[in-house]
Amino acid sequence: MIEYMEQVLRSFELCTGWSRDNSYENITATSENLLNFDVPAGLKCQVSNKSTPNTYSTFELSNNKLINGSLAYLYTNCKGLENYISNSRDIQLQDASETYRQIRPLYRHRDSKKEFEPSSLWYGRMYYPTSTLEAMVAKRLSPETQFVAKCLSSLAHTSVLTLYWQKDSGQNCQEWIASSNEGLVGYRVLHNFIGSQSKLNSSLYNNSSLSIGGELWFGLMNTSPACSTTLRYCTHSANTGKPLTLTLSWNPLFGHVSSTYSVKASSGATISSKYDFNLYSIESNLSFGCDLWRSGNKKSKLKAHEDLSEAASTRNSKYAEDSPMFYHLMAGSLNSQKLLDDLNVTFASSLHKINKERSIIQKFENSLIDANFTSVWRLSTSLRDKNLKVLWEGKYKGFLISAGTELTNGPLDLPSNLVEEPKSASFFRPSKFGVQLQYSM
Amino acid sequence: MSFRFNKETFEDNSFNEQIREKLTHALNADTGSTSQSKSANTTNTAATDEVKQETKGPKKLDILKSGITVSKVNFPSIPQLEILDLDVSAQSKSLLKGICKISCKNAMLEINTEIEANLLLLYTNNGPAFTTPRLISNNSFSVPITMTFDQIELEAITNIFVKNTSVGISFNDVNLDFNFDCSIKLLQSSIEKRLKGSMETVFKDVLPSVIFSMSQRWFTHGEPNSFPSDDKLSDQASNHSHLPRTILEDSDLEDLSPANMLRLSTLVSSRQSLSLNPTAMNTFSAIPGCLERQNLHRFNSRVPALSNFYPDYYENEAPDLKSLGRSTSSNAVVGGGGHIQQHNTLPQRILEERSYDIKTIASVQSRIYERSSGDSTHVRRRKIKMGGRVKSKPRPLTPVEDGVEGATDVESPALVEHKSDYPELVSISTPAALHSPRPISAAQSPEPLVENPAFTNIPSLQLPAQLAPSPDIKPLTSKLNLLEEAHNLNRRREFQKLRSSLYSPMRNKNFYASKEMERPILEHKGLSFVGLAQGLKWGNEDLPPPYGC
Repeated sequence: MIEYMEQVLRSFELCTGWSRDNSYENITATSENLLNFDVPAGLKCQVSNKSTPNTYSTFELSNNKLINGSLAYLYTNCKGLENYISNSRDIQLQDASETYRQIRPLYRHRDSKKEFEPSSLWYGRMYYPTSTLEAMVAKRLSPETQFVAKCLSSLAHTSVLTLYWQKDSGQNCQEWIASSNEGLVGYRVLHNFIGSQSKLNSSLYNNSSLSIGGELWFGLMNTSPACSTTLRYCTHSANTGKPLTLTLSWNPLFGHVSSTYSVKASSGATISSKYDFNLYSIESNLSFGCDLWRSGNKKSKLKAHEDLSEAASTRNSKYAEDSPMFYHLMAGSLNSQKLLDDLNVTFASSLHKINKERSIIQKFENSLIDANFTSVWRLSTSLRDKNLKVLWEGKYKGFLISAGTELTNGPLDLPSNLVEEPKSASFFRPSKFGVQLQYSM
Repeated sequence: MSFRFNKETFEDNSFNEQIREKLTHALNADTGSTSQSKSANTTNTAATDEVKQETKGPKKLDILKSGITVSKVNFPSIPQLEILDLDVSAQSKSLLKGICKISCKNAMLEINTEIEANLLLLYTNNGPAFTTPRLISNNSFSVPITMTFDQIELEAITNIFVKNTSVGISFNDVNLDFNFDCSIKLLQSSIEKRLKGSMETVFKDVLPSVIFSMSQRWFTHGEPNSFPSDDKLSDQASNHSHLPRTILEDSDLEDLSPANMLRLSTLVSSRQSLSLNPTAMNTFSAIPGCLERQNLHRFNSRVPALSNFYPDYYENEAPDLKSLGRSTSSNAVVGGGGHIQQHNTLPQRILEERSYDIKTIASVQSRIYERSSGDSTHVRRRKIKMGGRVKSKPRPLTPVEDGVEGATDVESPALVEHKSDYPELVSISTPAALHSPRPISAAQSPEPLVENPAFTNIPSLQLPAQLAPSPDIKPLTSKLNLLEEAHNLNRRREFQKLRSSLYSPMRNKNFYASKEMERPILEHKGLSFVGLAQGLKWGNEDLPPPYGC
């Protein structure tokens, strides 16, 4: 379940035209969401409020062995942000839950520049009784740049300041990161290949995107480096219009290769699998994860349909159904309208085919929006770790509830080669259990 | 008392397997479960490995991916234990002390574990999630590591003390040598350097404190040890940035013969009885805070009183009183000893010879007043005019004479009468009342306060003592002056010292400096002694710790 403040932050990014998925950090977000989702621990209650269009606040109480809480405030001067944020009664479950990330092709990024104005967001959260303070400032300086500073100050831990400087030109996204924790400095870059007409695919309508990215890290204090590179390919199945994502990551330093395959098999199910392999130690791991969505009754669907479609249209206005779907066909050409007219005449049958494919995809996406999901079961398991994570998320009377548990086979905190002794205990036992309640108005 | 070194344990090679199991258990147990091993060799190697484990990674970041497996242990020869010296009940509090030489040759040890090679993963996992950027494909990469110790040669001379509550061991001459081989050559030199550096800590601090705390539980029959000294030990340990994990466990104590323990406790209790034959002549008491009756006269000799400052005169007058203090008749002890010491009077001979010193008397009296100041008795100053009639100056001296006579005659009724005159003496002689010396002074103080002006006034009327024409006395008074100055210096602390000397019988070198009790047998060889006594610090004026350094 995405917390309210995180939702505000994402809405801020959406509102200011910043693409979250175009960062290397989130290049494997889909498989991470499906496989490594967080299971809440203990009981946690969150009450959130949009007090004014510019300020938001959250109060949280959690009971994990001892009661602690936090108080968060957020201020933003971004205009129109309130349209993007809905309360917990009206929000769509697929927006409130970390799930499959639909990657938009490159040409869809390029439309929000003219209406840009610099805006910023301030966020602070105080935890008690530990007196830990989290603070974050996010600033959109220009249409292509964003600056984020995160700070953590606490008694127990040394204070940490992390700075992000992000530059996203659509095709390339570069980030420079410096953190005072262990003197970590990093650079990451993501490059999107222009989606040109596919030579192999007979389909003219190209909705796929291919991205490659890499990162370099170096901890100055401990002189330990890290690096990785990742390839991502997102597309839709031509016949059914179902989206799928493939990624291939490689860590050259430690010889780690991992490949993921995620597909939204139907409007109510998502499946992801991940295979890890280490070239040096020939260790491997196989993980599976799936989401099973359950729709509500039709009655409420009809009622909510208008609001939802309205909200969806505002939300999707950036991705603009009115923007040319076949933008790639005329990338670089200036007299586009004339060319289009010519094309319409000449390739009428092909364009019809494009429209047909497009309509399939569109239909599938609409079916997701219209589905009015009320709950989702999420399962994830990993062969090497011998664990099973179960999470239920749903809406009940305006509350967003997420409850989950993690079952493990091995001992909880012992290293792996000590597991040998209690091997006979083959049953799963819960290592973590929690319920999270969220309410926002 | 006897003990047995079970050599058969080492005859066959089964103890190698036993050591291997114990080492593996101790290295992997984070709960600090204690284990014990019969031979010091085992303990040594265990502690060695413990340090190595800590060398590999600090506690905060656990670089170890798996448990530590001790794959091979080989002690081809029997570890030798040679007893160089053994001394039973040499000192009041220790029951047994001994010097042993431990040697072990050509041993071998091999340890396997896995360490995390991706250090950045450890650091990012350790940091707070909010400010830590997410790294893609930053998975763990564990590398197995094997460490082999060849040709372990250990030779150490240890001092062992068995005390009432614990066993203390200090290592004096430690020669440890081994060849080290690590499967990751990159790390070999640094690990080896840190190992050798921490070796001194092991023998100096870790090992003695582990054995000490283990033995405390062992002597107190497995009570949960909540001794203050334990806290202190752990405090000490935490100062060394790592807590020495106790690696000895109860199951190893099964070999301890109950008969031996019974004998030990009998020995302890016999020493704590009120036996009139003092086992150690120069100590107040075997039990802290209690006074044994035969030592009463020594205690009394340190209570500030006028009589204590002119012992020569008393010896001259009544030489047989000292022997009375030693006599077996308890009546005589109370009467004679108490009588001599408790009278705050001057011998008449001093007055006659005028060899007294005003300052001495004044200091004694004021000290008596200080001791009794808690009783809120007011000083009653008596003004005496110069021309006035001095009243009754020999009057307090008469009971002295009577008492001396009465004390010499044990059976005389005068003694009984005397006891009734000074009922506080009876309470003094019971050890329980001596926890605080206040009852003595409380009863005592009014008497000198009355007499005080009388004494101080006398010399002002007479000539000073130095001018008195008695040549044989004169050197004596100058000596007394020296004594008095020395007492003036630490007059403030006198009472506290007196009190504390009651609690630590190994003190009072100042007063009983006649005989050197213990000489350090071994010179300090670089490794120091780790405290045996609970909370007792060796001060300057204390005797050196036994076999000290």
